[in-house]
Amino acid sequence: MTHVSRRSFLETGGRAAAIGALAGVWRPSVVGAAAVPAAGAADWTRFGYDLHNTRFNRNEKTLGPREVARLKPKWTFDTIDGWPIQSTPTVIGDTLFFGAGGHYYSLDSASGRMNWSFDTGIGGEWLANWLLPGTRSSAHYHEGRIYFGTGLCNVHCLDAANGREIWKTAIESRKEMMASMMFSPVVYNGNVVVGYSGSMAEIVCMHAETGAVRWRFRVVKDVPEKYQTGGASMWTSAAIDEQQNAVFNVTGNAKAFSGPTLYANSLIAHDIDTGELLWAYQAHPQDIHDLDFCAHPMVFDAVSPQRSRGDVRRCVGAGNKANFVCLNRHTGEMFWKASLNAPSANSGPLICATAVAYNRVYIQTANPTSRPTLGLSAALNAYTGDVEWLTANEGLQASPIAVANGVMYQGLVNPAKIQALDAETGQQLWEYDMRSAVRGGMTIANGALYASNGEGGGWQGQKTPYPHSIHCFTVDGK
Amino acid sequence: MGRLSRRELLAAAGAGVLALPRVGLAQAAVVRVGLAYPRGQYFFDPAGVWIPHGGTVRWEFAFSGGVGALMGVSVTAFHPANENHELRIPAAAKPFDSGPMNKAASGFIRFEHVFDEEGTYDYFSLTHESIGMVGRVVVGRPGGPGEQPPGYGARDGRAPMFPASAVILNACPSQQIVEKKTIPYPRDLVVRPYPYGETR
Repeated sequence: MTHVSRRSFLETGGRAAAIGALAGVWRPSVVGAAAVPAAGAADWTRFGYDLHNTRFNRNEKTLGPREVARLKPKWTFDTIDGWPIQSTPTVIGDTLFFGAGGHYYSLDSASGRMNWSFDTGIGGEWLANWLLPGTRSSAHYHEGRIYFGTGLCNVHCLDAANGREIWKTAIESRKEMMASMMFSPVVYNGNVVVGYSGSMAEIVCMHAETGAVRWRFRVVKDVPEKYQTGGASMWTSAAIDEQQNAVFNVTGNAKAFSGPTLYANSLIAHDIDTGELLWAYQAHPQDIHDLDFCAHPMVFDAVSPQRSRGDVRRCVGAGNKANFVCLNRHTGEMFWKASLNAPSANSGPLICATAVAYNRVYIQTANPTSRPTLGLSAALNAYTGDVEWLTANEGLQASPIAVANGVMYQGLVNPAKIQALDAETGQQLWEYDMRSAVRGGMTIANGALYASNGEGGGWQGQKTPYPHSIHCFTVDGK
Repeated sequence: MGRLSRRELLAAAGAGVLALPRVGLAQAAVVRVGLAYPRGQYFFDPAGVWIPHGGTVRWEFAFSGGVGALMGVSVTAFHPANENHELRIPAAAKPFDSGPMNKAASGFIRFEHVFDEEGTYDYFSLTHESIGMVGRVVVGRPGGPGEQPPGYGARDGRAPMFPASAVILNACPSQQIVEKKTIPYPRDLVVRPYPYGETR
């Protein structure tokens, strides 16, 4: 079987007919009623696209600066329970995975038809609260399985073919701890790494086969555990450096201040197998101002503008609400720091609005304290942090951006829009009005843009007159 | 608490008769346990409060909008029994400690303490004293180790007094508490640079 032939076959025929016809041709044990998705040419496998969290689809060749002006809606899929979408869709060939509210879904990425849905067990009183429940975690697809977290602070491993649960691990089930997992797992070398938010955050590494916990790192160790607090919530996802066997995480601010509050508000490196702390960089010690790291760590190599031979910086970078920091990923020493916004609890590259591509760091920053409020999109030189281009947006933004094939894709909260900018210049190439605030991440995969509509921060679970949907855009809607 | 002791107290206070305490015997003085001003301050408000001998103080803490992760805030007397802090309550008084005020059945977290000994009581939050989350209760007439300068116990090997805590305690002179009955949290005294610890 080749991937191309199967995909084109499925596109021409109905899914059921195709599977029925193919069942006799291929190994029934693999195909059966539903098959493991076959890889596409330019898949988006997890929250950050790759293990480095670049949010840059380097394999995408179909959608480019010339094509995006012709992007048209192809299909939409409404969430079953009407819940807003905050996750980034994962796309593997003909299959799309995403989670929202009480469900995780598998869709046919070409038609938007649902393959299966999985009930995450979130409901009842949990649904009455915006911050705790729901599903903001994006799935990591790995070898026929998907891994994701939920607002109940459970991690699930499902069979990608049929949605059957392989294992589930409750990371923090004490209700008074208000633990919630908006974090998107990273799967690497037999490990699943997650973090969570709540009274007392931890980084947790699990065995990918069984879900058994291998190590835990309680972030704010200064605060004695008996106080059941410490804070340092983790909102994003981890990045991997394969060379060092390291996993990078970022944390939010502390809730209690018994000491310097290490390792809150920090970018932290651990050995992924042993949990050994390699180094940590704390942006703001004893931060009482809520200047969380709210954008994911990104692993990248930055080339000097002078292009001197061998002058490459081995970087890990991440954005907090005050600035973006770029560090030496082997030592934690700072290369550069750039700030495009006044620090505040609602400022900065909110909800992971960063990407790295073409020797640039792409970043959206929010300036809600300026008059009028100011949302910016910019490209910074990855080696120096210097601004290469900068453009003001029509409103503020709080969703993960994506870059692919010379285009940066972004969502705005108000006005609710998705836009495509030229990654070289920042010039706007295309935009589309959405029904409501864009909070979920952009995904570019196999010639299509997948985006979603959600709600702003004021939403408290009310019914809305419009659905919350995944939207698929392709050239001319074909 | 009997009438006698209150009369005794008023007699002792002398001129204080004119400034009859507003705090009734049955009801408690209320201190708000705050999470944060926009400037990130954690506080007890009022920072200084007067109650009559035998009176009660109730600390109240409310989550905002039903949502809030645990902060581990506590109401803990300055006493060697509490994490080796210096003695800042009357020697005969029992040390009190609410423990982490984490369990909220109704959304409100409360802690009450009845003060049986006269004198000056200083208290702190176990996990927030470093940013100045301390307060003072004067019961009847001020007096006792609480009148010592903040940090006096360091030479005896007690836990050090955080500068921000000393600032708040020094802003609550006991005599002023007796006269005014309450001293609001002096929020402008412990404002941190914003963002704190940032080097530009």
